[in-house]
Amino acid sequence: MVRISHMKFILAASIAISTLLSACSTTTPSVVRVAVNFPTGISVGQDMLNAVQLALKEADGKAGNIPVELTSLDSSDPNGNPVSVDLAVSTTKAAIADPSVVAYIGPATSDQTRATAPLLNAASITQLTPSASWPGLTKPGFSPGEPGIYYPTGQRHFFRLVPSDDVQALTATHWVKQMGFNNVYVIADKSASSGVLAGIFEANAGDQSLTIIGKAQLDIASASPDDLKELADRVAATNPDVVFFPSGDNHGDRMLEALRTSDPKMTIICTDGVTTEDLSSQAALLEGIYTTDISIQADQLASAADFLKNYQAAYHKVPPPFALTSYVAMQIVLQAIKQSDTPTRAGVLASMGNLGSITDSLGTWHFDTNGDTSLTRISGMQLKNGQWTAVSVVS
Amino acid sequence: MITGTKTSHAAAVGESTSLISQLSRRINVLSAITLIALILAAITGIFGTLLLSKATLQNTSASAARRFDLFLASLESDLKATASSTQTSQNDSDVFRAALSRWPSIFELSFIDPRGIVLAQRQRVGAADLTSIPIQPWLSTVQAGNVYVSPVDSKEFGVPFVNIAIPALDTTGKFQGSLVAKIDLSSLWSEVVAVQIGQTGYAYITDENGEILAYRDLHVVQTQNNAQTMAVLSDLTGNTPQTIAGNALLNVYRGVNGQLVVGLGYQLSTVPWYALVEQPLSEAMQGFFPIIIGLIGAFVVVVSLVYSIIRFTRSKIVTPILALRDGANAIRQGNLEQRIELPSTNSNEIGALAEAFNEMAARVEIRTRELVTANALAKESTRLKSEFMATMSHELRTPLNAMLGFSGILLEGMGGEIDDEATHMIERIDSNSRRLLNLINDVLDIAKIEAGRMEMIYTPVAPSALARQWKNQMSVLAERKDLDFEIVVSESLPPQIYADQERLSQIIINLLSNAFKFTEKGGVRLTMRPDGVSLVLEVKDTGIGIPPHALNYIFDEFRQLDGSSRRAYGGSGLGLAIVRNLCRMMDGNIRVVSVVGEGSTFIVTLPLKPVTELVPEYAA
Repeated sequence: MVRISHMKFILAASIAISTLLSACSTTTPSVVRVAVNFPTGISVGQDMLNAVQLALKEADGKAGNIPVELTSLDSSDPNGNPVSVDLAVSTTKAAIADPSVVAYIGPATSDQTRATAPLLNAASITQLTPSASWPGLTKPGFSPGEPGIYYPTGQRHFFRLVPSDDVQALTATHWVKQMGFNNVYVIADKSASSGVLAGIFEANAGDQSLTIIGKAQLDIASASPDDLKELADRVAATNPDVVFFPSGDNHGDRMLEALRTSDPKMTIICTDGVTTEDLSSQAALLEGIYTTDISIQADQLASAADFLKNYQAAYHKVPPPFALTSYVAMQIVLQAIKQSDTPTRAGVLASMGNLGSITDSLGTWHFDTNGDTSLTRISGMQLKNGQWTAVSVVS
Repeated sequence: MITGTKTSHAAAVGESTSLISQLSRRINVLSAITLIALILAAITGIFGTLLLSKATLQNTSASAARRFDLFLASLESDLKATASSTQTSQNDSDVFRAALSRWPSIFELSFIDPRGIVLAQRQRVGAADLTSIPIQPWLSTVQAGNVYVSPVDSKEFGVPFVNIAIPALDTTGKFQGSLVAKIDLSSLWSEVVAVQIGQTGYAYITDENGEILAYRDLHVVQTQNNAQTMAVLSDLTGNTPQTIAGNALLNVYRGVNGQLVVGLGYQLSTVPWYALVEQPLSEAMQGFFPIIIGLIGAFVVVVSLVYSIIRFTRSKIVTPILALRDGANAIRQGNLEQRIELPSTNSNEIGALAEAFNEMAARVEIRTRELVTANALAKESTRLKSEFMATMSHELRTPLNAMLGFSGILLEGMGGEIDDEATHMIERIDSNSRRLLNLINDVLDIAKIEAGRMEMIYTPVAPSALARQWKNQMSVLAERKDLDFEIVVSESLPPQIYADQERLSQIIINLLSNAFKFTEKGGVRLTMRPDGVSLVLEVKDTGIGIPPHALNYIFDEFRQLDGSSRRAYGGSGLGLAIVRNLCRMMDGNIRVVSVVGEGSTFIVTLPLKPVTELVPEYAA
């Protein structure tokens, strides 16, 4: 009888343990959170956050039946860098410590993303960026150790909704050709991004039958006015159809001013680094210069009409750059949570690989094997009356 | 289960032969076999899983090595083409730019003339550095037309670099310089993570010194110290790539990821590097989990089966049999009311056996009670008979003694003179009265024996004294028939023995009287001798002998050979019966050997009880 009791006990205990383990394995948090890390101390960051909140509101705060909440992280230092890398890291670590955080949108810049991506990868948290465009985040050949340095687990966790800078440079060759230019002078500053963009433009110019009539690289930030003038005069002497200047060191205004001073009608195409610079003091001088921009203005896309209308209704203004990609990033996160077997970090990350073709406000697209968007479409902007105005969509 | 008294009878059934013991032994053997089978299955499963894992890792490591070899071979091939292009193109920069575009892993390309002067250079980041470099030992290798691969340089950018130098030949085959490509080995990351080993397995590359060149976590490749040195395998795992790749068996060790892993390696064919693959042991053994579950299931089934068999055997076979055994024992010990009660559901063969047993027990009880009653009646009848006989003998001897007394007085003339005829008649009265008295005495002895009233009284006695007494007493009979009479006492006999002298004499006198009675010529001899622990007394005569068929009943009461012998020799027929009864009362026996016409020998065997301390008054 004792043996029978033991057997019954063992059987009952096994069933109880199995049930408990089964219950534990299927237990899901009542609420999952999505961390959003934007520089909300500045307007562009707040606008991006607004777009994310709009997407969540439109989904009734749920991904399927799972309640979703936002954890807003502010990486803007009110007394210093508005896109602080240190703040991005510290706030990201706080988000990782919260087990209910299953996905992460941001940070805004590539520098912040370089610092946070390895942390999030180690935690298996899906990361989406609506704005970071450094190609080395996803592709090799841009800086030693990239992109593996961002993926210590060996598994991709980073997904990008904007074309990377190499795509911007490549697309710039198309735009230059579309505008009817042939002879191009290429100037790069000493920043890595500028050198990369210039090199890619140069490498692909031949495919568009463009002629590189000259190229130069100068440390613009530390260059003297005479150095700048000498280079500008040298460029003007070649009489290029257009100057391609991928500014990347936040001092591009000096080079632009020197070029327009040397030739006030000189056609210049920059890349989107210049859009973050304050050009107001030289607005008249620089009137009409172009830039590429990886962001797409919502009013340039028919597919984004609803977003444009809803955003304007909610916030009473036109959505600025990156608001659309922030909005779509949140929609994708909600979809991944909904489709996941379990709304855990690992579950959401696995679900991201199964999204397949996506149709939304950006159109129809998908993530490639590197986590980059398949869209190669960028904005063509022109400085008009001191304001960057979208004039074209280039792909 | 059992009514009445339950009696343990373990002694009747040995421990080794009881059903429970046999059942236990068989269950133990079955359990041991099952356990051994499960252990063997587990061992087989473990080894099978490890062998499967080994095969998987072998294939994966070889595949990874081929993948890396292909990568390096393609790179080398492209660099050779680029080197050729430098001899035909007008613009090395364009050639280099195209190569950099094709190969993200190339960090820098330089063209160096035989003097060590950098004629052209293009970096992925930064400007050209067109300077002279010291003449490097490897230049001679390249000048000889060979490809040179430098040792791994890990000091720059914190990632491993390697320089590959390709000879650049002009159209005539003349050496014009070296194309040196600085290869960022961290670009192998995408190649490494593309190698799939289960869910969490991984691959990595080391050089021949164990320096890790590529691993999914570049932070591990970089040891993150100020010197920016690379991780060394021996520091991380205690192994070298040679030991891992050289072991034909599966390696189990703490891997690069810090977990216990199974690992194998494969040396690349293009460079002295190693492609190593590792899989966490826990994951590698996942294939064994279904086997474990199967084994546990089998174990549960076997245990359930054994338990079911045990329970069935105990309840349906062993317990009923034990009940039958205990019931039989109880009945054997006198509990005639014992019955076996089995559960009503037990309507099988054993149930039928129990029913038959109960019927048998009921009959035994009835018969036994009948026998007890009959036995009691018989005993009472015998007691009454003996009592009657004793009373009768006593009542008969009183007047008979009076008759003998008065007849003796008359024959001695104390009652006056009587004539011859009267004398003759009185002698007839006297002789018949004596015969009747002897008969009554014999009957009285028989009655005493049967009534249990005769007791043996053992006292020290000298055998030689007995012999003299018997000689004196019986010699008159020998002389009367002119027969030889001899008593022989063995010198081996103790000088004194314990015996009931009166009863022993009664036996011997009886036998001697018979011998003289049935012997007409020759003689009679009594021999007394020891035989081990026995006293043997033999009475041998040369008389008429006893026919074989009579030997079966001559010791029965009132039995002589036939009526004629009674008439010829007289006697009551009770003598030998009394002798046999007396022998039995003395824990002895009597037997006879006889040949008709030659004589008989009666052999009395009694326990020999020597007197250890002689008693003087009983000395011979």
